[in-house]
Amino acid sequence: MTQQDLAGKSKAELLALAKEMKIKNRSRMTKEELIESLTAITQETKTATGTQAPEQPPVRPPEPIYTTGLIQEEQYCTERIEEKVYQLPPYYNETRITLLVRDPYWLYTYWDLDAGIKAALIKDYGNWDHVPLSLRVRKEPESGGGQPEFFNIPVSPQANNWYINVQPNRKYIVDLGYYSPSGEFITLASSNAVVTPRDCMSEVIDEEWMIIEEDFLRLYRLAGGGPAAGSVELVESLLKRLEREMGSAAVSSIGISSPAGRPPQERRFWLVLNTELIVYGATEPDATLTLNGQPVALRPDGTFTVRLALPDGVMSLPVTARSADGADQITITPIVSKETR
Amino acid sequence: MEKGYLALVLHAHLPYIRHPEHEYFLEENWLFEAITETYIPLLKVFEKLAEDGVKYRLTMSLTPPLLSMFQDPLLQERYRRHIEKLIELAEKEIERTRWLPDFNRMAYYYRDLFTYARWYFLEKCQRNLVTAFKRLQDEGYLELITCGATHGYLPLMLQREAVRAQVHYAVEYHTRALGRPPRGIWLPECGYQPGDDEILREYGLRYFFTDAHGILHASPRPKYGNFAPIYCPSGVAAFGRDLESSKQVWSAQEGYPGDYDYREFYRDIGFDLEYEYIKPYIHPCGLRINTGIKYYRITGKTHDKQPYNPDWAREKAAIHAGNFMFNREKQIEYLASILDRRPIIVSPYDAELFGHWWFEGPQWIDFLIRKLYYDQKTIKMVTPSDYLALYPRNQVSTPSLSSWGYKGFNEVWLEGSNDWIYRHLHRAARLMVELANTYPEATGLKRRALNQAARELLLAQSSDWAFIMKTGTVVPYAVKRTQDHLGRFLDLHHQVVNDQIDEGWLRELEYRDNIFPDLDYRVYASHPHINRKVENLALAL
Repeated sequence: MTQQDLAGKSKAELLALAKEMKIKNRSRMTKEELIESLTAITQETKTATGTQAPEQPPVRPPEPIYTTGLIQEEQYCTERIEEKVYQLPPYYNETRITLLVRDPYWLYTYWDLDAGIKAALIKDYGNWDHVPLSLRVRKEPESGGGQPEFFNIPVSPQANNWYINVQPNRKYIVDLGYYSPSGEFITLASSNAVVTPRDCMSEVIDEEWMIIEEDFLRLYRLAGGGPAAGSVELVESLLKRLEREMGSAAVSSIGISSPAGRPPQERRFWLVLNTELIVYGATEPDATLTLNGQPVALRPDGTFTVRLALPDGVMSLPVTARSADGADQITITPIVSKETR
Repeated sequence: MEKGYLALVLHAHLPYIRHPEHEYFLEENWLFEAITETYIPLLKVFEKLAEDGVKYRLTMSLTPPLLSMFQDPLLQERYRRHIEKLIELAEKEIERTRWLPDFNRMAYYYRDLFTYARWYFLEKCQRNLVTAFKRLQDEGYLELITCGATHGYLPLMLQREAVRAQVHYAVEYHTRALGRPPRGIWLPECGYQPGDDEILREYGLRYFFTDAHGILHASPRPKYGNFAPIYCPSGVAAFGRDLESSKQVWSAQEGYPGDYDYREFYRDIGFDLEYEYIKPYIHPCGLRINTGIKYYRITGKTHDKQPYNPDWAREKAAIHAGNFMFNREKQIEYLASILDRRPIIVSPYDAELFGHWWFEGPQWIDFLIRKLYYDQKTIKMVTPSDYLALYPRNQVSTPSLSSWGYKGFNEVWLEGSNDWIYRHLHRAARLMVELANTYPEATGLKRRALNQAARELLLAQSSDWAFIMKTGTVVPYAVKRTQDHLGRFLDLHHQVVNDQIDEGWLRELEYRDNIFPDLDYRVYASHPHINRKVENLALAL
């Protein structure tokens, strides 16, 4: 978004945009200051990524404390069938632009240009980086007629996708093209048409299914709009809740094996200490063995191992072996005491 | 006479994860854990309720990938192996914890839980859990509905043919597996975009769900808000999610699952116990993973967790079920004072929340259904079909584009981490449609290659991959799956177009990516003539 685009907006629109961009102290800014901050942000993200990010980079959750096998490909310790490693091409040799809706305020577009067009443009402009590529975003007029409105977004020839700030409940098409030396916009490709969703209740009332405004607001409030009074506040409150707490992403069904073994926690030094006790020995393979009166399985060679968690206290461990014919019996009783200081 | 209705909807889904090329594959555990902790416990609750004469109606979506995995012999055998190992570990734990009474009790508890799961799976269901769901459906307790064929996120698909294929294969597979065509569909991620309902109508689907704002922002303005369905212009009904009841269960802060007496998910003996001891039960490479044996309760916002007490937790599940019911009663009484008809409250949840994340979730459902049946007269449980039978006349209005993801639109599946996939997914879908149009009646090897190409495309379209890329947990796996399926698709496309099909390699792909064995690629044709097949199938059954 250029400075000119921003200058054409009302202060309210700029404020909304600043909110989206999470600009601090926005409510205290003048219109000029808002434009300046917004321009700075968009340019910053452009240079950083080659595309226009609509907001701050996604915040990644902290790395899991314990790694899991799926992350390190080479750690799969099973034998592998000869595996073809696929790499998808970064672009395709075809001229096409596609438009998708992200939400009521943002569209996403991606495009490719075929080698022929690129070569022709390089010929005209000497260098690919000098080609004045631009997106022309066309907005269909609201019902009632009028000329379609449009605005342009100059894009770097290195970019191949873009997020575009738009209005809710409107139909858009975007053209990829460039400005000829005479200032004419030459279209290289046109996208599919998309309609942004509304971000509020519809103004269209069906006479057969009328409800008094007051009651509809009560329903809306009950449906999730919260305690707000006016309809605008209700809508805001609903959308905020969707953002804050309602998404299924909050408790996802997948990631079921919980790759992060621990919940994210602050860096904190810590120590855990536990003790276990191993009791082991051997007897005749056909003997029966008990520990504290409970049977213990012998291995084929007559050896055995019992492993026990060891809490604080004094533990008595009578181990009894009885010969197969029941004639002989031996009991050994170690007594273990553990305390933690 | 009741004053209103409650539709509980459980959405059961896991992505199709099956790797015969590996002896052990960690992500397959997602299915195994969900079988032990969610699906079998829920089935047990449902069956016990029926046995006790409790009448209830519950809607459940079983996605085609989940149904496919339930019926896959390789995964069935691997589940057997998995549960046997767990039982072995639980036995050792019983021994190890004999001086720790709180833990020892839980060790027995887990041993019984796992032993029951093994019996239920191997003996009762003969390894195929679908039979248990089908029985509950046939007895009239569950209304089983379908989803996208591979849980593809429909609002971000460009080609109408691609959306149709997601619906077609789903309805076809569901009908085959469960013996009757689904009446409704859970749109993947609740993602709706105006117009998709026309495709649902083609397949005889009578209803779907949207998030609250999908209905509240419908146009014309819906008279009953989201407390009654609306009909799309196509005639398919849309039901809106109730946020209030969702929040009580979902919300990380205020929701029931965060109660201090409930089981703590993050303290698992896979991470807690001594390495050599636990080694045989974690990843074969020695990496610590969750085993499912967890001894602590949430306790509080502390690292010092206290042992779990199943009696306290059960008590809380009963209290929370009572609280949920009380709130719905109040909600319905209030609504009844505004509306000139009896309202429906739609409460959908991910099924895997119950039992896996919220260990006591199945108990909560058990208590809730019993209380609804015995303790009150304000609310009656219904499915959307039941409600449409009661109120066949509804307002016509078009829902707004929406999803139940963060912020309510498409952003979860379209943002910096995953937006790159659409360039490839859209192109592959376009090529698939071209293939189906170019080869309307392929036979033999070419037909097999075309069918496999469709499978690869479908698997690449799972919304799970984009979701994982966003949440940032097992990103390399999601990226690899996307690349592999798309790469295989492109190779198949190349081989078909150039008439150079490598049969050995094709056979390998058919063996690995074996979802939808009866799939017919011609569904992707721009004017498919085989839609009738589904109807015929339904008639035949």
